[in-house]
Amino acid sequence: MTQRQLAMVIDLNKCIGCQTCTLACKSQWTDRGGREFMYWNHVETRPGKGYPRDWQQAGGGWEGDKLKPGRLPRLAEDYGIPADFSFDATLFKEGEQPLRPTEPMQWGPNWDEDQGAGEFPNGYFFYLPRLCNHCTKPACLAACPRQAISKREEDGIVLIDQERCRGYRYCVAACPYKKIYFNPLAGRSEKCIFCYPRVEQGIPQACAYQCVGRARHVAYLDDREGAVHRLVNEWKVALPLHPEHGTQPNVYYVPPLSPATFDANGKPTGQPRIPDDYLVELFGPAVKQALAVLQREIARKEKGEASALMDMLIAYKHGDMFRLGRPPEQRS
Amino acid sequence: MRRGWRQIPAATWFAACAALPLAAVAEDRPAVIKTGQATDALTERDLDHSLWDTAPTTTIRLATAFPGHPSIVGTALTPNAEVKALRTAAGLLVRLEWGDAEADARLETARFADGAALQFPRSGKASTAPFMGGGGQTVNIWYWNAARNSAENLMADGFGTLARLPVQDVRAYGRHADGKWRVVFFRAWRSPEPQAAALPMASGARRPIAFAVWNGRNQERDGFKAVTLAWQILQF
Amino acid sequence: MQRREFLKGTAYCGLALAFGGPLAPLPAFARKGKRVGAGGTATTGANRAWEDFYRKEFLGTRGDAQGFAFHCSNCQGNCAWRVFAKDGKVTREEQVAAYPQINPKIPDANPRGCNKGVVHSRQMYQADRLLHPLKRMGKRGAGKWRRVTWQEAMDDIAVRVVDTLQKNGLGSLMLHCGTGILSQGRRAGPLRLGSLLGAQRLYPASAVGDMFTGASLAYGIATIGHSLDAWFEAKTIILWGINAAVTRIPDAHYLTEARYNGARIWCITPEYNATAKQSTDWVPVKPGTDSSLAMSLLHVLFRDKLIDETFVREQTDLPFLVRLDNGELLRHRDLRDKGKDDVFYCWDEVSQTAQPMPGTRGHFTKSLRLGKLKPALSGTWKVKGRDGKEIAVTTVFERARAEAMKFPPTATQQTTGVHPELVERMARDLARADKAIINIGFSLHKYVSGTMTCWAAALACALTGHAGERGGLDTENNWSLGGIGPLSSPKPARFASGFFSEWENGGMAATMRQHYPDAHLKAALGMDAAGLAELGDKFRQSSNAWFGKPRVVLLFADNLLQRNKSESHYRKAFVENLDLLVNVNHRMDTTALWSDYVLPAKSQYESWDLRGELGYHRFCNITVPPKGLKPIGETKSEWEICLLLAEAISREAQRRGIDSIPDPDFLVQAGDKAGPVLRDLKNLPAEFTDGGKLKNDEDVVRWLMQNVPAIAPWTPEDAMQRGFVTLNREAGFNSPLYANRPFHSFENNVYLRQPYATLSGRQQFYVDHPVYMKMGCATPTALPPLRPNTFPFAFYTPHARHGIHSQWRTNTYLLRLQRGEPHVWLNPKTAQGKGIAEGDPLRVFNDVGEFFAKAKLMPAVPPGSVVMDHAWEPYQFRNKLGLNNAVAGMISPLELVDGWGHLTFNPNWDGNMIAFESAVDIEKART
Repeated sequence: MTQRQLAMVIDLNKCIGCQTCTLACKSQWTDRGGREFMYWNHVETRPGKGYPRDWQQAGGGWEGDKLKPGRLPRLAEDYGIPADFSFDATLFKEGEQPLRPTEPMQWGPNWDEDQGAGEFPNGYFFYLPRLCNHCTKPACLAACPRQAISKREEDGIVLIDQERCRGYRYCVAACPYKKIYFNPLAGRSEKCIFCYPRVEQGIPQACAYQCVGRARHVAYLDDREGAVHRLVNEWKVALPLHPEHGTQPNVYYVPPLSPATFDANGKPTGQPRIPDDYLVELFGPAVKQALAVLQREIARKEKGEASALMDMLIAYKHGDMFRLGRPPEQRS
Repeated sequence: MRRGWRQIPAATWFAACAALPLAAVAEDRPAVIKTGQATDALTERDLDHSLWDTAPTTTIRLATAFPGHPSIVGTALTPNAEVKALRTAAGLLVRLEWGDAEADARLETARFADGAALQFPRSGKASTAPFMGGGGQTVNIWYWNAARNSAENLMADGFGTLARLPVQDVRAYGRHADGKWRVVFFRAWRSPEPQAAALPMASGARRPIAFAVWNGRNQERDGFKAVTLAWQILQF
Repeated sequence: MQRREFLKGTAYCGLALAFGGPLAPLPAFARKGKRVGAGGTATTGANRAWEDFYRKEFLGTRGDAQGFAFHCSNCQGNCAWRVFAKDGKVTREEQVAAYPQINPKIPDANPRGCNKGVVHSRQMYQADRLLHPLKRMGKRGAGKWRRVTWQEAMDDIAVRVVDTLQKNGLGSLMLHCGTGILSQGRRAGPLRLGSLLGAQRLYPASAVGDMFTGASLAYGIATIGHSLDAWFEAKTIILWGINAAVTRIPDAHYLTEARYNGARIWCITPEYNATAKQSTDWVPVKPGTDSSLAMSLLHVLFRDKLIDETFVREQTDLPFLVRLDNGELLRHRDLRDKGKDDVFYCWDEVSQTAQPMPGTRGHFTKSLRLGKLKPALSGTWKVKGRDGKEIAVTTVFERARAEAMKFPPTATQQTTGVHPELVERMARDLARADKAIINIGFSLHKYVSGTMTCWAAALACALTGHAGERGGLDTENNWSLGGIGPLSSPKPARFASGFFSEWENGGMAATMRQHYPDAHLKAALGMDAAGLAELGDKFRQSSNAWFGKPRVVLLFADNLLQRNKSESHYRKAFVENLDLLVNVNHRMDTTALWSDYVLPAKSQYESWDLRGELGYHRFCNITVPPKGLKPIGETKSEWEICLLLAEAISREAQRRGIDSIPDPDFLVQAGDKAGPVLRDLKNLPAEFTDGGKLKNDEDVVRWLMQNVPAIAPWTPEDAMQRGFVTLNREAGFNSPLYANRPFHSFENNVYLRQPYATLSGRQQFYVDHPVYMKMGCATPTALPPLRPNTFPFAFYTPHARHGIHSQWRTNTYLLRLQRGEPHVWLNPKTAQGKGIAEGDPLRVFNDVGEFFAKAKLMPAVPPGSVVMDHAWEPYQFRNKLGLNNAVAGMISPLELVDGWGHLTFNPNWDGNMIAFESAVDIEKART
């Protein structure tokens, strides 16, 4: 049994889609060695096809106690090739060659950026950062015939043993979030490692620590003073993505609020432009209550009253958003 | 914690096993692959050397392997393969040839490469389970993969235990032509690797051997493969 | 036997699963290696030694040397980063994230940074990096280069520089450092060399169209406002034409944090963007109609008397008297012979007489304190003129109110597309908030009406008493560092107007004439092209700016061939007549591509630098390259390049027997005699290094730390330890910068009653310059969009998320997060009407030019508009023709005014290139 679980809460109201986390992760882990096409952490615009393309339709996860079948995303069509560009021909040679990818791009991690859905002026979109959920019941782990995937006892981080893995990719198919990537150069599958080499040295994950929107809280789930426990278990405003897949993710999201839609005369309706149904599809029915709590607590602050929830989400000190070194003993 | 693995109910597993062609296995007699003697110093690169014509051809029947894990589903495509073996002064050469309309030699996220393997019981005895060994009775596997077009020297002690051996002294080389793969494996008579199978130098000695072929186009990899469902016999 | 073996096999694995028993152990040799982690291993028999695989990678990125840096570009973020290097090569960067919290009730400024900064280490070594001095071989722009030595380049450049100084005069040399380098360290080199030579340079903010002339009208200062942590305390935030979630990435967190703290956030922008998403209310204003919306906002404030009268009476010119006969402000000279031009009056309710207002430019009292005066806001009165005749007067307040009353929200809805309910609610949110901030983005002044929108927004803040700690208008706060003059401007330089020089150098009037029919201009502005030209002539006569086309241009950090409108037209006009165009750059941008010489410069992490003038936060960041960093190619710092230039020019001048050139345009006092400034070519290198004291970029940074008062008491060593220092109280220039509070402009004016830098000494909302009078713009009003109806679509180009203007725009890692090439954003309906589908190639065109890009369908973009994120390099488009080819030249008559009170050419009064007023059509293009 895993004794402790390190977990993350991402506040979607604070995420501005700037992609700093995406690139912080990239330069930390995936800019080399066959990983160039991978984004262990990325931010996609919702609604949208996402990354890899149509990952929500690619299967995986649990159906009761059975693994659901899944398909493997293709490099060019679903992930997108990590394009190189024609710098030399365009800039240092004669001719009219514009700067272009040396191979045409068909998709990428942020391909449908800011597109969303709806009709003007009621179009809507928001950003969804995604990484390995370090699930409590990982489908990938169950799917690996080689026992190459394990969950660390001390922090619940799910890892693919890079010596055991032989690149069979059952885990890729099994992950309902399609957050495991096959490295064709190494012949192994790889994924977000929750930055354990950083965490072990007391440095939070690159995506979280470098998040300039200050959207990410990291703490052990059993750390009752940590924001993760309080947001997930006490306030219940942080919810896992697609809980119906049954993997019990440990990355949680504070759902997005949105400005009102307009009626045919341009008058605000008072109804949020992101349809509730869409959020239920992503975060399950609990999302309605979570949004209601957020709105109630914001209203308190508007009236000049105190709100512990709002203060926690505000996060007055960046450093306090990360609690990596707390002992498991809890004061009551 | 491998709880997920264990939570898979037995019923699922038995259902998977029931699909196996048990009858076919029971009826087959092991094929005997007789090795020829090569006078020249052939290597695995000499796929088409005329000396191969001197060795007898044995056709072996292949069937979908028993899935060692519920992730492994599907029907392998390769029905049989032709085997030849040659002894040289340096070591043993085994040539495997099987039909595969298109070569899959590139690794990509959703593509698998073709492959082939020879398996020997470490003990040299047929009492070792022919499906990756087990219970301490290990097997030595020579594995060729089209993406690298080279061999790996592996061992296993049951399903899910396949591991690279510290000494990598098996060589293999293959070529796809006219809808067929032709792959030659080579290993020296003596290997410094203690976990490797010993090859008898004595003429006439017999050893169990098993074969596997993967068709990458069919997403075959790992235990999803066409195999000989029992030990065959390699006669030196 | 075989069957038995088989059955044994199936039983074995079947049992293992059925009973949940132990799985087959791993082979013995695979279990070697010690266990790691306090908790041991979670997996029976699993070995965890392999985990070192990623640990080693992590250590690899951590490198063997560390430095500090910020990213010095025309981004005002200014974020402290740690730079890691291994074997002399930068591996990675990560935010320092150690800025101290100034107050426990305000979120700290960490971790600051963005998607551009985080990939600069990738930019450094990218294939567009310039490694060696290059000399153009083919025709300009052809891309044919020859690698030359520094010596060869410098010798040739010096010959042509001295040639032009001799033949064409000092002003024929332009030595310009654009907005690509705004830091105090790296910018100092080109500024100092240009100043010593008396070269001409452009006001950079104006050249790029970033002047807030509406704020200049109101305050006499263009860049005013708050440190952005002030957002957190605000209860109403109006973001107007500013996409903060994209252009203020490091500070955008304060917006959601403010919302969580109870703030209402209003986002006014035509397209639903990343900032609209963060807001409580999005106001979908039609492109270019913001000034009408602003007037409706004022309408509600006036109508419902949501007015802080005490504030207005003292802090604004609203009580000033205006003559009813000619609409001019009542001046001292109207009442007295030889009266002053800059003394103004109010109607004193106590004495029922017209009384001079204290604190105006001409008044002897330099304070806004009213004493016993009680200035009336409303009414009409008569005063006796100097000729004894009565003059009927009213107040600016009345005039401003009368103007606003023309724009009820119900009447402007048709124009703006904004429902009256939104305007009414926004006005009340503004009025009732204890602290309210209106942020004006750089988009607004890309329209001619932007000046009026911004001015009206300033008036809205004034009416509701939002200034100082209560908030107010925010264009962009800058610190007043001080002390830098001796370094950057040891001698006077020739300052040219930014926008007007670009207008003239690029021959932009031609494309304006092409695109805007005279009748259309006349209807919109009250003057046609000839009228504008006449105004330009007057501007040339009255302004104290330097005018004249350059012949030799030494250009640093300005991608002017990318950013200028009517791209090809501008380029032809600007480049063709040049004797020499030298570009100092770290990458091959469009301007480098068209240059005669390209000199390879160091980039962000490679030379010492310091930046503290930006007022989004109070931290002054330092760049200290990691120890042992290997030079990339033959790159040199800007300082070193300027020193090489100084030495080469000195050698060439002496070869020709020239020691110095007198410059009679500037006088210098020598003893009791004034004489022309001497441009000392012989001693240029010694002057440049201040006698050897400033030999390199490190010397410059150390000099700055010792000489800038706002940095005290910190030493270079403090900065080198932490990557930054905190500016002291002196950094604020019309308010103190308190250690524990956000900064707010104008506290000295609001609380100490010091006069503002305007003619009236107050926040000014009446300008009786003839042009303003003629255009009906004496007080804030609405101007229509200037877009001609000859083409169906508005074309506007907001700032990009994945670049700081053209910087990082070609970065491979950022392009992979886009679609690799420029895309035009179209509403799906707009696209459908033209038979255009997602990803289709498009031609965007008008009578000025055309460009090609692909279509991206965006429900968030308004129908009737063609939108794309700006500053793609032209060479990223088909035929290497960029998006500015379809933008006509345009300047605003409101900004061509000079010689009126505080509207006099200076860094706070210069105009803009109008970028968002062109109309285009689109069609599907062949692939």
